[in-house]
Amino acid sequence: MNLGFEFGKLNFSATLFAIAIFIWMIQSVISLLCGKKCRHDFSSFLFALPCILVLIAAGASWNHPPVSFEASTIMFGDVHIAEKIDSLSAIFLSLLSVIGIATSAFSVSYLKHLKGRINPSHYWSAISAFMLSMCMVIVSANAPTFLVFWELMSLSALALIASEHQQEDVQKSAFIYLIATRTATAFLIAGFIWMHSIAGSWGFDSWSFAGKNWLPALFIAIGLCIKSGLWPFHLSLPYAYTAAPSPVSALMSGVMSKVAFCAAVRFLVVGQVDSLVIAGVFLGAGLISMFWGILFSLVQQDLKRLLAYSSVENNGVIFCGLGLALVGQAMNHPIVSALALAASIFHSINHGLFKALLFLSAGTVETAAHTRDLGLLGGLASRMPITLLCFVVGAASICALPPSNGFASKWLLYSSLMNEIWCSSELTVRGLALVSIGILGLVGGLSVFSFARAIGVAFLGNPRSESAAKASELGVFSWLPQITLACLCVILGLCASFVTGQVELLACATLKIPITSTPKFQMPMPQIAVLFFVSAMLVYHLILKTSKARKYVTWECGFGSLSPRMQVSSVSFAQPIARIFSQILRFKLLVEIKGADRRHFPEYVKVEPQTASILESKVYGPLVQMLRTLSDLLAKLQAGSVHLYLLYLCLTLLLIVAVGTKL
Amino acid sequence: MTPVFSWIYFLLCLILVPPLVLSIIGKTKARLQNRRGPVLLQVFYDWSKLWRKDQTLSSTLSGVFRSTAVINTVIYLSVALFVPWLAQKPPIDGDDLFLLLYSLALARFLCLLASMDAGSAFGAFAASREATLSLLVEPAFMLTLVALAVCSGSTSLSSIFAFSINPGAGPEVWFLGGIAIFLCGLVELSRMPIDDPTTHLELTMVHEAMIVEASGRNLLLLEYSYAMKMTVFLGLSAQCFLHAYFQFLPVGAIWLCLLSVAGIFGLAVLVALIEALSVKLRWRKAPEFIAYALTMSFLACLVSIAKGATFR
Repeated sequence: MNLGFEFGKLNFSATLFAIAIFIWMIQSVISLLCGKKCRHDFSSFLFALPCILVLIAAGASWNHPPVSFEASTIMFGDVHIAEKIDSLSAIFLSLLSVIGIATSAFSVSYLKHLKGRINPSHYWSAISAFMLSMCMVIVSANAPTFLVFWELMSLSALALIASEHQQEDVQKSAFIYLIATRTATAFLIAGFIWMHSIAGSWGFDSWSFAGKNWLPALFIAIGLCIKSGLWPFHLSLPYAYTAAPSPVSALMSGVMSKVAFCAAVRFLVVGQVDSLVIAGVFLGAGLISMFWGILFSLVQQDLKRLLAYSSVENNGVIFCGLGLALVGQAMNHPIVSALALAASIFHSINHGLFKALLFLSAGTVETAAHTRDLGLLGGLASRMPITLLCFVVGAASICALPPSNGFASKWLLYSSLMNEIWCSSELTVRGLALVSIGILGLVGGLSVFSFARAIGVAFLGNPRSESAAKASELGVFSWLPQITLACLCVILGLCASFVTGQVELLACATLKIPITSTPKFQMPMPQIAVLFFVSAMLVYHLILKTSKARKYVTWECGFGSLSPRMQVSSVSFAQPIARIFSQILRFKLLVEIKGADRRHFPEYVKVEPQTASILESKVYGPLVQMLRTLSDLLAKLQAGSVHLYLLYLCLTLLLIVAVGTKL
Repeated sequence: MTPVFSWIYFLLCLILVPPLVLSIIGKTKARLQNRRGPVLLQVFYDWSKLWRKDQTLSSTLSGVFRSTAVINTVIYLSVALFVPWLAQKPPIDGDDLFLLLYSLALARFLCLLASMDAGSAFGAFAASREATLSLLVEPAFMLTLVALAVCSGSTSLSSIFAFSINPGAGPEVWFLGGIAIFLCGLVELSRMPIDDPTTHLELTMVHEAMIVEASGRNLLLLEYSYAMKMTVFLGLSAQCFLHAYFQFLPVGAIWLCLLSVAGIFGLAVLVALIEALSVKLRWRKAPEFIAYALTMSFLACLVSIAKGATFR
């Protein structure tokens, strides 16, 4: 297979990259041919190897001049495959490879436990095609390359989501995901063709969105918003991430949505968008989706669905940063745009890491306890301590609690908002920035609530079902990737001042602004953490360890033993918040009481809380209904009668003749 | 002030003020109810009793519960070390306002987990209430500090609370900020009218029900960190009022030190007064009370963005 790469002319990182792509391509084909004989450990190794190569390639091209290479033999007219590895793509490539390595190891234990439910050859073939296409999208340098691999990425993701296609809800999820990707691609193609007609070239380098060109930029922006699942297009995320196997959810949430973000930076920030409309779209959609996402994650019963909604929130944070960077670009506040872009790039890396970690932990829980339903979990802490620890680290990072990496990126975002207030003299801009800070604060509180609920109900207390009581750790392939990702989260948080400095340099280079004295993240996190750890150890050993402790039952007012059903349920834990935001969540308590005339001793009481998505029931539902009615009408045209079709032919002929004579 | 004196002052305040705040609240409340009340050192006696007692641990508990008391104590101690709650520069650097907010969130996160650890309904329901209250209060507290930061041109707490002669914030911002932080404190610390700390019905309590499984030294650590949190909240609020006062009548450093301690005790008396005179709000009315805190912070924000200078 000749891709037209001439290895002699390529430099080190491009060569490694090409080899990695080649290995994935071969794996994709071979796994499909192997059929049932496909071995997990071998496939996993073959899958992880290119990840390592890509990681080295990304490291080698970090802070180096961009490397461009083209596959000139695949060419139709001016359309050819063109790639460019620069620092921006290097940072996303390294995220991709780290999560790729973690999922490759995790997949082994996950698939062994789900023997028979997922076809291994199908899985490995699709997942290597998925990785390959994500890599190529990140480094693509012109529109045709981007679109080809973007489509391959979407369709291989679809194949992975539909891994368990025998189940009806998986079919539905795959279908919803398909609709979302089709719409996203349609918008992207429209924007690309428009830009081609303006710039006269497919190369991204020659595209400039400044001035009047904001309309095609809007198409591209909407396409990318749909792909990364921002409000109001977020509905595909909870379906897709829940239906997909956990390692795939980790890849989709950790990498694929970041690929869309990387594309947004490449097109819109590098393309010098200076329109406040685009900035407003990102900022508004980002703010709404972070609030909306976390609010819905708070009432979910399914662990993976909860994580999916929290992905909506985090994508909102990321795109809010991007919008703020564009605001800074439009209003000529270089400090704000540099800080905000650095915040969103850093947060997208961080979110990739901790969300992948959380999905892997959720996958472990799912395979160990055979359920994802919070109502059936509980009490996993004593038997799955490593998973608990990893989940707590992931949750702490996602709630931006210090000293995690999430705190550093949230701090950058807050800092950019503060700088926007200080830079701008317009009252409305300052007010909007303050409101954004308030919303971020509220979202922070909500995410603490949501993840405390998830951990408390799933891991702590007493088990709520037989299968949860029997759950245990799955083995080294399941906990090693989790621990690695958790350590990365903590390390990135501790080295935050160095890492944010580097990311700020990247942001300045991307924005083409001279390196000014941007405010730095100056908190001495390692020192604080060491001091904290030492003093915590001291307090523990001097105060708690020295006192005698007696084991006894949990306090139950002396009425007798507690049953697991007397614990708080996930529904009742979220109920106060659900009641406060009942307008958005459409929260209702359906109460049914029989024999209420006996006042204090009714015969039968049933209380059922109900939440529904307002978008699904009020907007998308009627839309789908309308489409269905329209297509029913259209279907009547196709009556299956030859006579009718002859009539259509006649009418068409008449129409053409009429139009032809008029012209 | 010499550094030696300021260290002695700080350490004395760190050791004495937290328990005294609790004592003053108890004593004032008792006097208002025509009781004699506990002696001022009662909290020390209670704590030494807890120190001597053994712990009783539920067999359901995991490591989360045991580490929470320790970590919370360390968090609130370090918060007291880097937040300028006394009128001087705090001993530890890294006093960013977002670090303060997220450190408090970390402590709360662990507390929520610890109270769900035993598998009892009391702790978990209290956790749910606590989380609800604190998330509603979070924007108010954050916006208040941000409004002060907007005026002073820095997010570092020690440069916000710096007693500069020509600060960005006028007395009205400080005054509004002081009220907002006090109201936020009432909610965060689960005092009246949000929560009655002296009630004995676990089903309605917030903070007390969360720590129902703790005993012995574990409880001591939780009580201590609670007192510390209270001191920091009241201290920040007192500092705001003091800054407002300072703009009318600048005073010397020694006076500021005395006044800030007096301010904390004065606010403690106010807490007791509210507790004696008001009744606990129904749970569903709590968001309406929090709305007052939010309104104060909004007003502070409005004044600050209208008057606060642009810097760069």
